[in-house]
Amino acid sequence: MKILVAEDDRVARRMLETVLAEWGYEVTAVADGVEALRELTRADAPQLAILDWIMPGLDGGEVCRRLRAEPNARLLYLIMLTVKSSRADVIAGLRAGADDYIAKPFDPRELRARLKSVLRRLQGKSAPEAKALRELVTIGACTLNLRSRELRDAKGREVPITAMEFSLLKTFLEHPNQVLSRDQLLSLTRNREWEPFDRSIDIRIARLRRKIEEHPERPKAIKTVRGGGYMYIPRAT
Amino acid sequence: MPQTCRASRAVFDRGEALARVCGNLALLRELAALFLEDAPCRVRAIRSALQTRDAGWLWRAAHSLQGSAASLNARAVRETAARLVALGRSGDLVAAAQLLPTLERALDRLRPALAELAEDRPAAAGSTPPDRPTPLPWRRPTLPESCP
Repeated sequence: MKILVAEDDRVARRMLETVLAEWGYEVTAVADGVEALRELTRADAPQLAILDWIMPGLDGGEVCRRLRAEPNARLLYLIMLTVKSSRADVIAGLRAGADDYIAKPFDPRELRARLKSVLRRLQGKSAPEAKALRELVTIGACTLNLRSRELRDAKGREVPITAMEFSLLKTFLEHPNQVLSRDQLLSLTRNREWEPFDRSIDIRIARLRRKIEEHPERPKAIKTVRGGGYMYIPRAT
Repeated sequence: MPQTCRASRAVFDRGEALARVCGNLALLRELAALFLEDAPCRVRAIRSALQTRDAGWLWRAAHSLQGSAASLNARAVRETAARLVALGRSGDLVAAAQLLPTLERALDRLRPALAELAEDRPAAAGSTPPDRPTPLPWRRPTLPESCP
């Protein structure tokens, strides 16, 4: 499996290059964002890249944005490398299109386990399917971990959500920019507790908005469509 | 744990650093040598940024140093560099200038441990020299001497 490492710091770059090679990856290492973008848009580009957030030329976020903006985007899994203290950078990176992040200093066992997990998902998957499998997604002002079901706010604090709220969020994320009626939401979340024409979904969504929206009274992520239902609008990157 | 041991490990914990490279001592020695080559350049860049009052240049140089130190588990340098990054990003160059001696002292304490580690490094037969460090090309450098 090919992997690209983009890191301007020699120490970190050499470390990643060596441990990844020891684990059997075919590693291409570059020192700036321009070179990273060039390598990742080649026909034989790696499917997986680890990008430092701050780099000369183009920073990691800009590399992510440009790759995701490609109309015929290849199947790429992008992992952002950040410093531990910078939660704002993590969120910005995920919004820019990164699939995951690793904080420096990283635990090599964790990195290896994450890469194996990515490999399992990438093998045999098409680009849309792989995109659907991204673990960390932003919704409103929060970040949702689809695997651990944790919702975190912009400052990284966990926001408790119920199983039903998670189902609702996941349903919206899987149907961006689509109007979903109350019945459709009922059906898609497959919540057996709800009766047909159950209006409690309005209350559930009001609670969700209080958790994920910057201004719940003026929601931007989950909009009400009069006579239609609700629609999730992803934030533009 | 005795105070001196705690203080020493706060500067550089060789055991943790070795664990971070999966026990690869040769790699750790190579990383130590790279750090010793690059750190003076980063400090010069920070000093130059303070002289020219360039907060953007300052925090980027400190960020590079922070990353290097994190890779080696050099905690004191990493934490001080992280504080410099925060100060640079917030534009507080006065506080950053006051913190620079702390960073230099942390590097002075770190240097002997890394030098000892790097000096034990055997030269591999036929090995190619490590690539030159990436300079900080966000703008034309105005350093008193060129970074390697």
